[in-house]
Amino acid sequence: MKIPFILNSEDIILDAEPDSKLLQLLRDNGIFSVKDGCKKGSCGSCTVLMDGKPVPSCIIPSAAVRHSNIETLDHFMKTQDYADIDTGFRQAGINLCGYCNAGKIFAAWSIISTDPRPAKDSVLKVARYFPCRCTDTETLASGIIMAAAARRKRISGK
Amino acid sequence: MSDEARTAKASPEKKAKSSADAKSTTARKVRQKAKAGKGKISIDSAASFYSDIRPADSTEELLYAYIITSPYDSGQLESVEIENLPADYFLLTADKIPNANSVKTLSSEIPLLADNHISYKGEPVAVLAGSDKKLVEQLAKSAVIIIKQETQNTDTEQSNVSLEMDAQEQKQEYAEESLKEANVKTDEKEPAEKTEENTLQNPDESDENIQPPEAQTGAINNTDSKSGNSSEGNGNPSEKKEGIIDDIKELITSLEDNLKNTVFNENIQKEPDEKDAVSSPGPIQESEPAQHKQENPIFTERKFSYGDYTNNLEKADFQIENTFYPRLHIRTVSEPEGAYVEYENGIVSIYTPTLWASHLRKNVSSIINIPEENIRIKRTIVPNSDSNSLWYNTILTCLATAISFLTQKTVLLVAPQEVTEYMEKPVSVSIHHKTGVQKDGRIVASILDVTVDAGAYCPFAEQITDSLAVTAAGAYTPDSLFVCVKIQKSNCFPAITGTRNIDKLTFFAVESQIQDIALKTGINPIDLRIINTEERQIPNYSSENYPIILDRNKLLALYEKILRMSDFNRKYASYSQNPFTAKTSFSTFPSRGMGLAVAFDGKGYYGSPMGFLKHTLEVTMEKDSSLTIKSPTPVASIIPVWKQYASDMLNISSEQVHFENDDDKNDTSELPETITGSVYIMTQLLKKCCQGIQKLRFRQPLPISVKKKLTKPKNQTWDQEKFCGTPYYSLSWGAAAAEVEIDPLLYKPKLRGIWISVNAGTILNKKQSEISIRKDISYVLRHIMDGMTLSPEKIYINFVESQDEPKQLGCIIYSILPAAITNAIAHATRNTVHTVPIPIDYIFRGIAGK
Repeated sequence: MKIPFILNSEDIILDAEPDSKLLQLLRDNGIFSVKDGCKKGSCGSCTVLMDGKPVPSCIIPSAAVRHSNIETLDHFMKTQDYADIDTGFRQAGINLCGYCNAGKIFAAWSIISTDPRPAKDSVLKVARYFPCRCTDTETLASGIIMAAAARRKRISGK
Repeated sequence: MSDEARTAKASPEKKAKSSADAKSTTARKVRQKAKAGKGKISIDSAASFYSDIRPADSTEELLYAYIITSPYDSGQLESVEIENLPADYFLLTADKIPNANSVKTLSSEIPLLADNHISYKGEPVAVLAGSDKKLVEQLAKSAVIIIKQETQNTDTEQSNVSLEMDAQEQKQEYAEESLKEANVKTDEKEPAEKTEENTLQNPDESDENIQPPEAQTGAINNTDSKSGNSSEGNGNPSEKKEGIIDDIKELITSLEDNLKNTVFNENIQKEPDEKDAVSSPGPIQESEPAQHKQENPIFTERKFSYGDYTNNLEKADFQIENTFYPRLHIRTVSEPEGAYVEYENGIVSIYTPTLWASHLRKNVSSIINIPEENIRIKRTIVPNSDSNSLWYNTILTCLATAISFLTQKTVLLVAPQEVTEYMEKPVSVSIHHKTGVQKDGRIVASILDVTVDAGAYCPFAEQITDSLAVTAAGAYTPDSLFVCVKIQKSNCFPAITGTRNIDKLTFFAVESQIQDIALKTGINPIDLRIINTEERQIPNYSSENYPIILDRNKLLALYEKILRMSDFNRKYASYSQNPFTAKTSFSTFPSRGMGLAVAFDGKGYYGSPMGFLKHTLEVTMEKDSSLTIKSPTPVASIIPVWKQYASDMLNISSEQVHFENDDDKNDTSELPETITGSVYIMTQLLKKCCQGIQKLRFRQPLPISVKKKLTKPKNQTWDQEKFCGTPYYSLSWGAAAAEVEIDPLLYKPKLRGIWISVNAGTILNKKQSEISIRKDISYVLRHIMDGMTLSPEKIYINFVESQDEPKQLGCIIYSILPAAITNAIAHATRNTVHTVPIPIDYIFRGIAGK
């Protein structure tokens, strides 16, 4: 079936099997920033932004993205918003392994885009979710808070 | 036909064609854009995942390979067949492998594909390769594998590649057997009452009646309605209903009893302490139906002893015996094992996250019979996971290479999920402790029996045995000791994960035993540990009785630190007044417990055939005073540390320090990266090299190259035969304390604090070291019990100041934290914990039983 949607700011129509998931659709079309991890939507390695919200693409049916706006990590990494997150993560000493990047970066984005001064408790709740071994909870939470600070600084121009 | 009509007729087709062209163009654009990024072949392999690699030329065909595994653990493989296999699809079986059908690892030889004999469940029997990934998977799952078995199991079985289906099938088998027993019992009890219900329940009648218990209940309900209809006037319907309800209850009870009685691992003999024994936790993932003899063949066995342990045990004031079954395995989500292989003009290019390039190269050369110089290995990102296997990656890569060689096409092989599940299975270990203790707390005899089920193959059996034997007694020095470690062979999937850092399991057992001794003797756990870590004079000392020498002088400082940080003594004494029992559970004071554990992390084991002392490091100071370190690029967190270390020693900028890793050269080390990439060993070598350069720097013109290797200190001797002496080149120590509170309503433990103290010599980067420890802590908590968390502010980490050389942190947290937490629970509940992960209802079962 043909699925028209916006992928990384471009209108496209892709062929997909009726029972396929968005993850497979993206990887079959050469987008590898989404990783095939748990296949259950729990590890975060396949996360994309769907209409501005992070979703696990491994459980999203391809048909569900019809006319949606999908943004993948490789495209997001070209934006200033990513630069804020990168700054914050570096300051916190975070070295992501590469497999879970999408989940952690988009989780950070979802927090700092809605709350310019996120409370540590709420950030910790999100940070605890990730099963990947490359970063511990507190460091990730610190990284997100620092990313929020970097974003505030950029937006305020100071 | 007029021109207009022709045009009108043509236009819908033209429209459709142009529309299709536009869409395919759009799709092509997406692919091209994506390939402009990391999809190309000429990428930095060290910064890429092999499963993301695709051919640069889109017209080049890529074959997706899928492994077909054996659904049975033994038998004779007759054939593997796939119906309607497309012409351009390739099925690799053992007879098609060009040369050797085995991977040689140290002294063992492991088959690539099962040839005749099936050794374990999940053993690869064939590999299917084709251009459509989804079709390949479908066809592979529909493969018919014909296996002849000696037992009465069915001769033919369809490929059953889903682990979930395996578990479901096992449940069905248990239900069927239990149902048969239940029917037998029912018939025996009431032979005269052969009702329609019982007849219909007989599973022998037809396959349709054999269903899981829930469905069976449904069947009973159906027959109830049937019998209700057919037996009108035969009796009171309500009485019949009651009778059927009684049957259902009896069936359910017998099913439960059968499931409980099913031993999850028949390979390991259990000698449970009846009061404290905890049945094997949780799901069937580790269980195999008992089809093996009690005495399994063994790969290796190690026994050593000193002193008169038998007499000492008999004369001891206390004799404390426990068996522990730790199943701790740190799971993570990461890229599955596999490889991307290209074969062109006699050159093989392999992209895979291998940790042992030389081993891979030799075996690939042997399997497809090409010179080693023609094999290029590009190491991709290695997942941060305990599932990394030094030798299983070679098996998968060799399979992909064989297909690429035979088809002359590029192959991508990713291990299917069921294979990954098998690989992630925790290793099965049983550790039996028998300890004789005097009233003053001295351990006068310690008898340890460690049994490991390593599955069908275990190339590193000797190393595992030695690691367990050295760590079995922990940090302690009993007056007499007997240790027996056995690595058993079975028809299970080879134990891949958890055999690295397997000593965390022995530390769990010995620390839990110490806690049990403290509980039963009434001696403070700290005092008990101090008494038993003194270097003591062994009566009739001679070189034959020479024990394992560890530098225990660091321990006192460690104990002191942990006591102060956690206020252990006061809390322990206070919490001892109010243990959590069925009677006290609702008292005004919450029941809390304090637990302690101590362990060491040794690196550079002298008894290993893969001697770390062979490894060399070369460092070159170039003409422009920049420094080139010729080694594989270390993990990202270590790079800045080493750069800073080298720049401090040579007084250059850290930006002038570079790593050079040329994968194309064949002079890669014979040793695996678990040794060559060891942070500790590399740091020592880097220091030596930098010192060498410093000496020559102002005497010789640049560039200067220095190559160094480690040498064994004169005061460290190790006798592998007698198993005595100083086993490690380097040793770091760690201690952990934990405080828990028991929820009186849910019977669940809640963490209140964790204190960690580590002695790892000079800490090069404190912040990074603390991050590393916190990472490990969060991982252990996630795996020790469902839902166990702790706020980061309640985790306290301390590094004991030391002028010693920098040492490894290693996996010290995995060795100390689980025992500290379970000891705290044991203190609170007066119930020793024998296994991790802790079952969710552990405390309730322990308390309810008293």
